[in-house]
Amino acid sequence: MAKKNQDSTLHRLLRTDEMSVFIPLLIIMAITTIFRPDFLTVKNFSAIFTQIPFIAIVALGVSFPLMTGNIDISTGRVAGFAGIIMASLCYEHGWSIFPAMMIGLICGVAVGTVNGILVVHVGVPAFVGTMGTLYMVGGARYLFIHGYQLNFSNSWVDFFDKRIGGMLPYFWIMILLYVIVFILIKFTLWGRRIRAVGDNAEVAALAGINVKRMKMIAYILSGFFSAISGILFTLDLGYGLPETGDGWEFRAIAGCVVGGVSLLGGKGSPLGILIGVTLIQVAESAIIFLGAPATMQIAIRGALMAGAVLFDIFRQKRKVPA
Amino acid sequence: MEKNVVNNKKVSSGKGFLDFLLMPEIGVLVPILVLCVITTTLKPNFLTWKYFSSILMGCIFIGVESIGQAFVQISGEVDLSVGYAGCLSGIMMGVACGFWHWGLVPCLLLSLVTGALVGLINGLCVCKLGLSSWITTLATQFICKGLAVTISQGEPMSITELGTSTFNRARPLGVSWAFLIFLFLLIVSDLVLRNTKYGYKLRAVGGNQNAAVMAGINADKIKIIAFVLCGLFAACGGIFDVINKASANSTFGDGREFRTIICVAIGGIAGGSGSMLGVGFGVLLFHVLWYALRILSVDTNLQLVLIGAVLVLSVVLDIQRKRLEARRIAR
Repeated sequence: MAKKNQDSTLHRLLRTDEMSVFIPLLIIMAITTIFRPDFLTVKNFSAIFTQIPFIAIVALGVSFPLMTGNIDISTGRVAGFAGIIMASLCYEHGWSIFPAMMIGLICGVAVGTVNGILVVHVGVPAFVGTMGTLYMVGGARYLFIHGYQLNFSNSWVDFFDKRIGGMLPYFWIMILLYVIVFILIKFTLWGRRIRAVGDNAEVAALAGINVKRMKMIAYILSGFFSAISGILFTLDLGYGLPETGDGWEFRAIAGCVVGGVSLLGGKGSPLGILIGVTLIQVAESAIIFLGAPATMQIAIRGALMAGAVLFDIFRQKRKVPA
Repeated sequence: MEKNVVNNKKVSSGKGFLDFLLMPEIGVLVPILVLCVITTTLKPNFLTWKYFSSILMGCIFIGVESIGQAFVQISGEVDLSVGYAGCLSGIMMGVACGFWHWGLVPCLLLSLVTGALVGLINGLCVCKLGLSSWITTLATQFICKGLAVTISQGEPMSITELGTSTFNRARPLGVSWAFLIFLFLLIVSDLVLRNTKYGYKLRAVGGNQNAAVMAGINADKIKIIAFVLCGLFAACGGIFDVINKASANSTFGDGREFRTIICVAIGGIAGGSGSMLGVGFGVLLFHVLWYALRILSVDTNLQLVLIGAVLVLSVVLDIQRKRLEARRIAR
């Protein structure tokens, strides 16, 4: 009797959304390790984990609009924009780092608000609207660079180079953000509301949820998290790099999609997103270990993304009749 | 009763000027004219035929891919793979010429087949497997990009063997042959959209898919054809690129998926509505803006900001125009 009960918990665990991402991750790692035993080393994985946090934080941000059934493709450039603003304020205007960070974050929130107004209130299609801000912010990043590097040597940069528990501080900041969002999404009324809006906006509105405000907040959060990511990346580099964030938007969305965020809205868990982002990074690393040309990495990312969505559709279809 | 209806029609056509302004194509033409006037007052040599023809000849690459994008967007989907599908087609042309020493026609055919194949895969994934269109096409974009870079190893591949330089240098009617081909494709697509059964069905599917399916239209088939057409037009863009530069390179077509979406959005295409003429004007506006900013020596990065602003502005205006139109119809 007890065994049967255990079985069902195991089954339930295996059927959660997070597990369906975690198992492919394990499979990829196992296969690669069989062919190349040096794949599963601490050194390789700490290299992978130093690359993850920035994309993962952007992915966490973009998951909010995705969960409410919208899309935000301006995230990467917003990250770059916030980083450049901070670097410019520190280097050219001699600000100390904290007010500069605040301004960077405020810029992220401002762009998110503009996205929200355009998409939610004016009714511009989400893709086109956020593409407009993508161009505007993407161009604006370069306007702060006057032909020289925006270096800022600061005790904070040194702080962010120290390893805590074998990991750089960015990793722990990422973990902290994910834990906060996980609690918000899974255990609060607000989290339930935001998923309800994505699942069925009409029903959510009938249930008394202010749909427009929820969608608006989703965009603002997306801008906010992107700004955090860009600021951390700039701190990591130690200077303002205007190319920061190019192409991050689609890598982040790919991470979300692989991690089980439904593009129709209403579904998604931060844990799944984290595993999804890791899966993509590990798969790209595995490709090199298995001897495929590095130029195929991007193709693998595409195939993974399509495969993940297909798998999700297959699973949904199986779940519905049950 | 009959007379009343006729009278009503006359009354509404009496306010012809506003109707005229509300036509989507004209709504795009006005900013083009304004831009031209402003730029010409600042830089008088902007409106010379020499400069203007270079604008016209410069817009074929994004233009021809925008036609494909428009087909897909009218059916209510989006195609993010246009840029790299075209790039991959161009690379295949380079491979066929450089490694296999094929002639011109097989090279072109291979390129078109590559594009159509990418479109077919997109269409099948979207319609038969039920994937959302922009995830599918984002995936194929990644895959095409990866394949294009891997095949070419990042090196440009020369196609001088094909002997396209005379075609390239010829200037019939003061423009290039490629521009005339683009114009021809644009007009044919416009006619297809307006006058054929396929165009009618495409608009029906994009407007309301459920209603279209109930009316007996095979929506999947219509959409798959739209995706294949988009792939073909993307391949055309790739071929134009390769012939223009006399080499195939894996950096061609980068970011073009966004630019085609901008042109199509400016041209007033939305699911179920829009015309290829509008797309043509959208492409023209985008390029006039681009070249005007260039001749006014505006900072390259400020150009991006302004292009983004124009995109948002034009889409917001289009939404307002549609609201106005709906109100007039309701009245």
